[in-house]
Amino acid sequence: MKRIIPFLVALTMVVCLSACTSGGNGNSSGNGSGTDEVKNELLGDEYKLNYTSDKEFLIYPYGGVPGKLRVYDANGALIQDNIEISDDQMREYYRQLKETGMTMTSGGYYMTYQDYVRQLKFCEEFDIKMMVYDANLVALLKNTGIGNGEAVTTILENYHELFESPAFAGISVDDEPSPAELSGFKTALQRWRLIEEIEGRELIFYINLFPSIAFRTSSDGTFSDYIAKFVSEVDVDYVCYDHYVLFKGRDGNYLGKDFLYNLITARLNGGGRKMYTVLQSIKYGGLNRELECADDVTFQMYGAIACGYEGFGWFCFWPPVPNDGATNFGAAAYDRQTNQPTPTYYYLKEGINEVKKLQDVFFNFEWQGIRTVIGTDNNDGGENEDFIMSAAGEISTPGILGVKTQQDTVIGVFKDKEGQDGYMVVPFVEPSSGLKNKVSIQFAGCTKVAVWENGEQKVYTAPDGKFNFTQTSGDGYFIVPLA
Amino acid sequence: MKKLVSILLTLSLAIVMLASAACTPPANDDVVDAGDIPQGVTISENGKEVYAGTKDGKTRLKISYANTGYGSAWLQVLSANFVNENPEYWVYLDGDPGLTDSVSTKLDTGLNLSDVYFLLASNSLNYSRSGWLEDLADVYNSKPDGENGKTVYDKMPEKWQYHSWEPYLNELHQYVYPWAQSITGIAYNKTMFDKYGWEIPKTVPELVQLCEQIKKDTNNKIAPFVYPGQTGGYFYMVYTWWLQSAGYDAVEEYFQFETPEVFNPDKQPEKGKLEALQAFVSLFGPDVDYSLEGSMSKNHIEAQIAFLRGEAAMIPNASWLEAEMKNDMPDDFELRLMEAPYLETARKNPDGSYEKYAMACSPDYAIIPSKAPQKAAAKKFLTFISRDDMLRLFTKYAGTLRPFEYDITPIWDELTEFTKSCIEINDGARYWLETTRADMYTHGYTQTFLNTTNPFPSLIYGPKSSNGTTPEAFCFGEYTYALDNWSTWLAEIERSKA
Repeated sequence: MKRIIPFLVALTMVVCLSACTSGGNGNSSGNGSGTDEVKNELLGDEYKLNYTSDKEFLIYPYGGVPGKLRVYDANGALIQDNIEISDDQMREYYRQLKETGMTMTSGGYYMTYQDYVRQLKFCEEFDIKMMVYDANLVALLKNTGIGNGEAVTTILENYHELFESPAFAGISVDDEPSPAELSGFKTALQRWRLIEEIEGRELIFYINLFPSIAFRTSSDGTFSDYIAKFVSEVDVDYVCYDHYVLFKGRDGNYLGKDFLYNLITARLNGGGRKMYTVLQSIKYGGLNRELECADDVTFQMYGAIACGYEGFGWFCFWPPVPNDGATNFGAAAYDRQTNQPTPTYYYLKEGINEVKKLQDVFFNFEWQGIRTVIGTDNNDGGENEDFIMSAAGEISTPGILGVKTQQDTVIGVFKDKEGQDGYMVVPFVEPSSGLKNKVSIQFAGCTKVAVWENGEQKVYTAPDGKFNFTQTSGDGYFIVPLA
Repeated sequence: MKKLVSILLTLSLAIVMLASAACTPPANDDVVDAGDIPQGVTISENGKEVYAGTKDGKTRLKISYANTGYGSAWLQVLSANFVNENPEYWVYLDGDPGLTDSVSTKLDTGLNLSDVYFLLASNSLNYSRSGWLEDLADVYNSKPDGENGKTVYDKMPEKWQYHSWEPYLNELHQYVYPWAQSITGIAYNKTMFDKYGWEIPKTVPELVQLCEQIKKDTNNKIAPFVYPGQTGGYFYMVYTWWLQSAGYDAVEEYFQFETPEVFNPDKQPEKGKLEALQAFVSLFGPDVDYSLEGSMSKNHIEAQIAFLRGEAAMIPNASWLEAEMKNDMPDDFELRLMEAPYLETARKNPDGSYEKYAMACSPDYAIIPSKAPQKAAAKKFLTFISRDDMLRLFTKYAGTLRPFEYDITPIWDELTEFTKSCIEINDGARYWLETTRADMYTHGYTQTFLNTTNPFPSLIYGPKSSNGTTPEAFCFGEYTYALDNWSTWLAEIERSKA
């Protein structure tokens, strides 16, 4: 039976993929497909740019491989608990995790300390980092009833297996703390810094923040205030928040109208730190839908990259409980009845591995801001609410003489160390829609363009600085205009 | 992230318009009678722009609405009539299924605000306390039907009048304006019922018998029920059963939360809740098999499609179902809504008839932001749609009532049989909706079910599953939880007031 499950999943994948327009760009070179007639000739490999970097995107699941398996029935009733995972099965799960392109795992649900210790060995085997959540460890860090020295010593003794593993990436400290709670991490962070000093390495002190929709009263303060307060109160080198914008309504799939607003607001208030965001890979409630294609993955990542983000969590990988008393959660990358990969797993794998091809060029550029473009096919009276709310991120782009797009589009604006411009062009439309986005851009002082089309670099001529191309929803093109 | 996901999930779903013959399609598959659009008024091809003659030189009134079950046609028709009588305005309609969740961000930023928002049920108190909402006293005090008519406020039933008041700075104000009055029950496939000769059950035991009959007659090929477990199940009949057992006043007493004794399952009102949950378990619990497999993982659309495909004979639902699913409904499918059958312990009138209750899933509402660019026009619009003829048009296109006194006799023949079956449930019933200003509730310590917004999955799993429970254990758990925490909650409330 075990062999037939992957086969069936693969078969399902074929069906699902045929229903979606996948991220590939079958009509990428333009050749006059834009609004201005222009011939963009594909040039040889010798024109390609050679950007390299030793940095990589941080990509991690919320809900990694669990310590033990649970089996639920179709209704979500728990029918088997605490099923041991053999080493072979665990190795297979970690192989699968590695193949998605994840660089770190956060540990699964209901993990004991011994589960973490065990799984660190598999992390080492597959070169994946592990972020650990242990309530007692966090309590020791926060406990002001004991001194720093005692807390640090106790942690290093009690949790020595973690620190002995090169795969140990650090700890998850809190999820969505309230604004008032942000000032409560100082002691814990101070102690964690002492531990880092003793251990001689940086270890993540991870706190994930609320998105804007959590701020439903003026007394909560604003999302901007919240992010800014995190930056002033918690001295880490990143900002991370979560926000889930893939919905299904009675008229089909639709995109939340505040995805860009959250990305930009967090970015602008993030004090120049590294930016992480947790993205959606699970169906829950009545509206948030399951992933339907790899475009759902790439759009969320490319959209964030256009705003300069370099860390991407996925909520969820292994599914949480079917119902937590308030919310019903669907399947994520693994099925609750079989504990085998679902189509979502394969969408994540395809999408993440595509986007990772952008790493080398991305890490050679610095984010400057965004430029938004209302598409000719805009069906909202020539407005885009998300763009209007995100106006604070807009900057002037003297390097772009003109731009016309078919769909509402976000252009992330970047510069490298030499002042070379780079632009991340992302159609900001429902990713599973399959909508085409004909784009015409005229760059200043440009004769050719290097373009990472969904991660694959190509170089084209750009007569008079003009470059026309056609994207599909879920695509992301990084363009470097060249003299 | 689970924390926020849990906080945000709630929402009631909505309604839409009714298809009728000899119609013209303006947009979005919604269909309106040409005769309901005044001459000279244009609804743009995408259904978003509504104007009389031309837009040039006119003021735009922007209306955002939760484009869910209600659809757009009712708003297009009402807007068409509004611009016809108020030609200085044109209307831009911005439908957004996710509006209810994202509106706080819009109100907070104050950027590009619409003039009116029609939202699904959610915590408007948050917005009014933040000073984000315009006081609608002008609307409530206006007389939409002329000087001899009633005010908007006086046209509303008492419970909805209560709902219109919200506290801000130690005073009550009217910040929200009601949208639709949904009617809940059990939708059934009348075509199938007629084919097999199944009777509409009057009592819960009869409903249980019917489920057995359905299984027997269809050789287990058709499930008695399907439900949208992913969306909370739509088990509104549990509330109706609670009302049947405890009575209106006792349930109202519960929602005042003046003592933890309201959670004591040995006496009303909690006793009625316990009996309602026991009735629920007799139909959906672990010891019976009356539901389509996989119901728990279906959202509302998926469950409703399974129902329309004939995989199940019944689905817990409400008056929006026909409008929401009109594009998926087979031509020969006859849809009806039955009222929640009566509990064995249901209260009776002196004449021996049952006390009849109708229950709203939750009140949807409209607001005008305090920073809206066209507040006067927005108020004019809300007053306009409170007029009798506009209320009737709403019912015609949304397929449900609005919480106002108005006569629907003139349009009765234009309603579908499904809508008529919904309205008949409402006839003669005492209508109840969940709304309270009790401190325990508004401060978030108590709610309909303590410790959970949705106890139904645990009851479906049952006590043999480690994530399951029984009605008795659940209600007893509520009581002990309330007893353990009541004094703390009171102290916290007093502290916050200070």
